[in-house]
Amino acid sequence: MKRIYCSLAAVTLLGVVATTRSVHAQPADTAATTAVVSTESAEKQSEEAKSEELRQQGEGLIYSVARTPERTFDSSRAVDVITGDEIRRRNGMTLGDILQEEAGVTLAAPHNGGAAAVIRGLSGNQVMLMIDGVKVNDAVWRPASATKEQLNLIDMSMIERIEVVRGVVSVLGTEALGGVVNIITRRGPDSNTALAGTVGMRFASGDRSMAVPLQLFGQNDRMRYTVGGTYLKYGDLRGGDGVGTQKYTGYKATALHASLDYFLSPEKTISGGYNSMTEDEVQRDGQLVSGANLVSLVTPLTLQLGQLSYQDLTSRGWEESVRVTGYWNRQQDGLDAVTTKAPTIDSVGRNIDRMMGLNLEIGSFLGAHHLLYGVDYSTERVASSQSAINMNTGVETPSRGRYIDGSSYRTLGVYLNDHFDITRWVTATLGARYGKFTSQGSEDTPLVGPLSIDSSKSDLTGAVNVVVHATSNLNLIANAMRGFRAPNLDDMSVYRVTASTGIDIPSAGLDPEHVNSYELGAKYETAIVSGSAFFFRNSFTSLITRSLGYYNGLPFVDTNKNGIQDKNELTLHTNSNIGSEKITGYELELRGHVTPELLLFGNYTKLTSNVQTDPTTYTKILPKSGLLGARYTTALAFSPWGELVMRYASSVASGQPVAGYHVFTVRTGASFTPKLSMSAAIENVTNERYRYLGTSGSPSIYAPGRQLVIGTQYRF
Amino acid sequence: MKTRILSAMVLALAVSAFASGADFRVVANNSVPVSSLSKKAASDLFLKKTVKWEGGAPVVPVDQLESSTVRQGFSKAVHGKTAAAVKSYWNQQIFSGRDVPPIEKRSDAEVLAFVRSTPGAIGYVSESTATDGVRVLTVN
Repeated sequence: MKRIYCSLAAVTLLGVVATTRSVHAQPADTAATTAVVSTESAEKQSEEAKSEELRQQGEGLIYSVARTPERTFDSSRAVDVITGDEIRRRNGMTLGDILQEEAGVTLAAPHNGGAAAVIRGLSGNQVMLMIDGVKVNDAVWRPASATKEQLNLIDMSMIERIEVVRGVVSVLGTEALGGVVNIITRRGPDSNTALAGTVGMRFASGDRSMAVPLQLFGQNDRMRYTVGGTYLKYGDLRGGDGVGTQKYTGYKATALHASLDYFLSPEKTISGGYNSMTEDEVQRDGQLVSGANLVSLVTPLTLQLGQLSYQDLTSRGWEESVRVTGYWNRQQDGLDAVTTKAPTIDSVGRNIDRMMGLNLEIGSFLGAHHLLYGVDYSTERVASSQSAINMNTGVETPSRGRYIDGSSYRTLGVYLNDHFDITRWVTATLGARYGKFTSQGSEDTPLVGPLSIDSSKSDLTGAVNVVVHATSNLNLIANAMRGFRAPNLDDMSVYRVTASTGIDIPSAGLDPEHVNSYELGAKYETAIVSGSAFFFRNSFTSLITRSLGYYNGLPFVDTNKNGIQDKNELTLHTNSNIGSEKITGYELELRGHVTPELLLFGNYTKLTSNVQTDPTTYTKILPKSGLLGARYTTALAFSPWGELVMRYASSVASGQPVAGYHVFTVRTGASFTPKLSMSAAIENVTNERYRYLGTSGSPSIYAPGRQLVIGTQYRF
Repeated sequence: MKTRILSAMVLALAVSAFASGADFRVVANNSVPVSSLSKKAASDLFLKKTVKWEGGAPVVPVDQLESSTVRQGFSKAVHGKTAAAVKSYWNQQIFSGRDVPPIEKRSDAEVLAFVRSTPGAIGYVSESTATDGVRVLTVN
């Protein structure tokens, strides 16, 4: 009898669960119901179909322009979405390997695997890098730098897709001057599976590099999760055509990531995510090869980013969506050097930036206007130190680090984006963002005396974007934007004494860098052919540039107070807003199916820079660059595919000279079983000798010569 | 004067609400075990918050194109928001990997053909459209 009651209770409970999302309708007049029997396989098929549809529809959306998802074709901006399939096909070891095949994106790469994205001639702290919409750029984010890697602090195995926006993004604010790269991470498996996983391997012969990513994931009706990690090991890199193996270019790295989405209801989700990358013993090959240093390491180099967000899509009349995101971002870079001149002194430096941030964002509809408004707040503190350790005696002598120790940086941004249809044929977007930036820090320097970087600045960015829907397949676009980049602690707190050039001192009075940007564009999309063309003209003013400085009204350190620069008195330098530049250019993209199996694709970018002063450290102009490719896919059971891709760039004569190149790559792959997929590529087939753009202080190393790249993934 | 203007605005709003409410008819496959729905229940069906009919059969909602007049009216009357707001809701759901919107049909005829032949299907058509072979549901 007890058993019957238990069974009844269980049936009742199951019934409640089963009808949780069932319609509570009024009774039917007639009982014309048809029983629909759901089998497990039918449900699984339906789930797979849904996840495939989700994947396909998701790939057509972009978040990073208006901070709300919209179709890429409808977006008024020059954008690209690199899909998960595309990422796996390119089989890159680093984010740079993937991005360099996009229109308008090139790389500055000082180390093996280390690179900064160059978009429309800007890089480093003028390009915003984000993970799931949270900024990675911190207050000590540098120009494309030889000592702080940027793109390779992102683990490839956690990426679901990548969004690239070229040009100013008004509502994202300060660092989005050259463009935005937003990494969208994986959020669980394709369908309901309590526990599944993948293990992979990627090998490249050019540097005998190996990456081994392992990932576990699961999903049910209430939640989904992903946990994973990657071990990466690089050997010394062999360049093309006689370059040979480049010494001191290998290093190791480990990465971890995790995400959890908990579904409170169909409209409410709590999400959490964490990712980290630690690179060990990245060697500064320039100093080691030249013999200037016995030891020269950038180690450790760490990025840790965590975020927690709550999203509610419940309609309350005055709003249609609310999102609150809190994030934490910790980055560390270290330097370990022993010079040939002083072989017993080990110089060890550490810079740690800790950032906490909060974003509140609300979406509303007011008639035909889709309004998105929000507040961003972040606060950072920097710990920076340097020590000279006598390796014979063990005596440690501390000195000033790269930044003012204990300095802080706070930002406050308020933004509004209004997207509306003027007529059935014309859509407009107006965006504005007010930003306030406060820096604090002081020190007592032995040569110059007390210095402070206490400062508070504010500025405004704005955009007017107009899309004319000429036909259902053709959009014509006109954009006008004004953007700025606020000076950060890296700009403001430089203090460096160099016998040859003098002394660099902090500069608290820096103003933001500005750009006025104009774009004309067109987008075309059909099932067979799609493409876009954008012409742009960017005028930069107040660019932050190293220049002669003044202290107490004098351009030198007047140690004997006689008012005249004597022989041993150092010349002063500081950063000032004296740079200006005009960059114009155009970007073309086209892809089309010649047959259902054969896809042709390509892009071409032309840039012209008119440097009116000398901010050579800021612009990375490859005058012409592009890509041509052809891919053949078949409908065979194991989905084999093959492609030929040619990357092209013209030479750069000024700054760090770079020769032009044509790099051919052949790729192929297949899914031999539903669980096992493999890909292989011969990169740089002609063994071209080439390298990417250098950084401000040093040329880049040579890119890989001809190499075999093998990738495999097993799903369990 | 102010009272007259206010009355005229209220009247205009009431007329527009009545007009939008009368512009469409909700239709369902004959297998569907209901003959009337509240607005909230109808909205939940089309936003996929309710995914099963009583008895367990899956709900298969079908929408019309965002640009269609009937969808504009349906969205206003049933969801209480514009078709653009509903599209934005679905873009957010897709982007966060939660769900995809209902399939879209280009005309009343296509909606009727789909609803007629698909068990559990529910859609809406212009009020003037003949609704042979499907069940017309009352939305209160």
